[in-house]
Amino acid sequence: MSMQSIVNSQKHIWEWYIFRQPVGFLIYIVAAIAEINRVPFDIPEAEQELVAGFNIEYSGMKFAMFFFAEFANLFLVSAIATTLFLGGWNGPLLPSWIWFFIKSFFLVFVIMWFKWTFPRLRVDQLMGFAWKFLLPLAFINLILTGLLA
Amino acid sequence: MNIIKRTFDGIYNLLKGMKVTIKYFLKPAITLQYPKERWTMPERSRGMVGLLSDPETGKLNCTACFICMRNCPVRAIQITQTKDEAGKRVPDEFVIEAGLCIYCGICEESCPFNAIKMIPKYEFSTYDKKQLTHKKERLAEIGKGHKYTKWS
Repeated sequence: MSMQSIVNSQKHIWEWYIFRQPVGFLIYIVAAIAEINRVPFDIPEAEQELVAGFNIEYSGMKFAMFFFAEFANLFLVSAIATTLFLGGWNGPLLPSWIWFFIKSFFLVFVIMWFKWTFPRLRVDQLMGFAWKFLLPLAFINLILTGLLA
Repeated sequence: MNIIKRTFDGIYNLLKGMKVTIKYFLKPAITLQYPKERWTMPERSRGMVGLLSDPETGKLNCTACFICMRNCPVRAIQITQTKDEAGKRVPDEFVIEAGLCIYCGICEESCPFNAIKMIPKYEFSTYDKKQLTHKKERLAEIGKGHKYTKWS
């Protein structure tokens, strides 16, 4: 999988994969948020019901390392989504790296926006949602894409 | 078919919630930045007991009649009486234990000389329990500039 050629194949805004693969984008975002344990899937942390989850045991630099990792994950997930779905560094006028950061930080903002808005799912709800809904949907999406392409 | 309809309903409702939060995100924050900004207390709020004095002579209205002391449900007021040069009765000591005070305002209601009032001032916490004992001069300072108002 060459990420460069993926980005190069979405030079114009109508070629972005978010418009060609909207279902894939939604599945990716949901799975990414669940993977980096952010709201609404932050079951191990559960800030509002447990005091702060497992990381209440840590303080100082150890605590900071957990949160550095968490926010690094957040940015990483957004950067991957930018590369795969939002046309990577392609954009008019501004230099390419600025475009990449604008798109990535917009996605970071959107994920933080989810955090203000959505209530947390229970463990069984998340498992049922991921296995019974997202996975079949991803397969159907894959098959349809293979048939159409 | 049901599951497709429910999926779109769910996405629609999630977007509706996100619309609400972005609306509040773009508005300025309504949190009062407390030490920097302060709320103007309502005039009738019972913040602290203060002694009122005559604005012309600067003397306390209090005649040391002990009515507030007797009516105080927690006995937070201690008064001793004395006489001034003109032979008028004045309080020698007028002590309010702010640690005991329950801010009920009964002293204000019972005072026949309009001498004591609940003042809308706050932030009287101290590091030392002894500083919660407010003497006459301090109470007069708290009540300075406040006028008696008949509420009922």
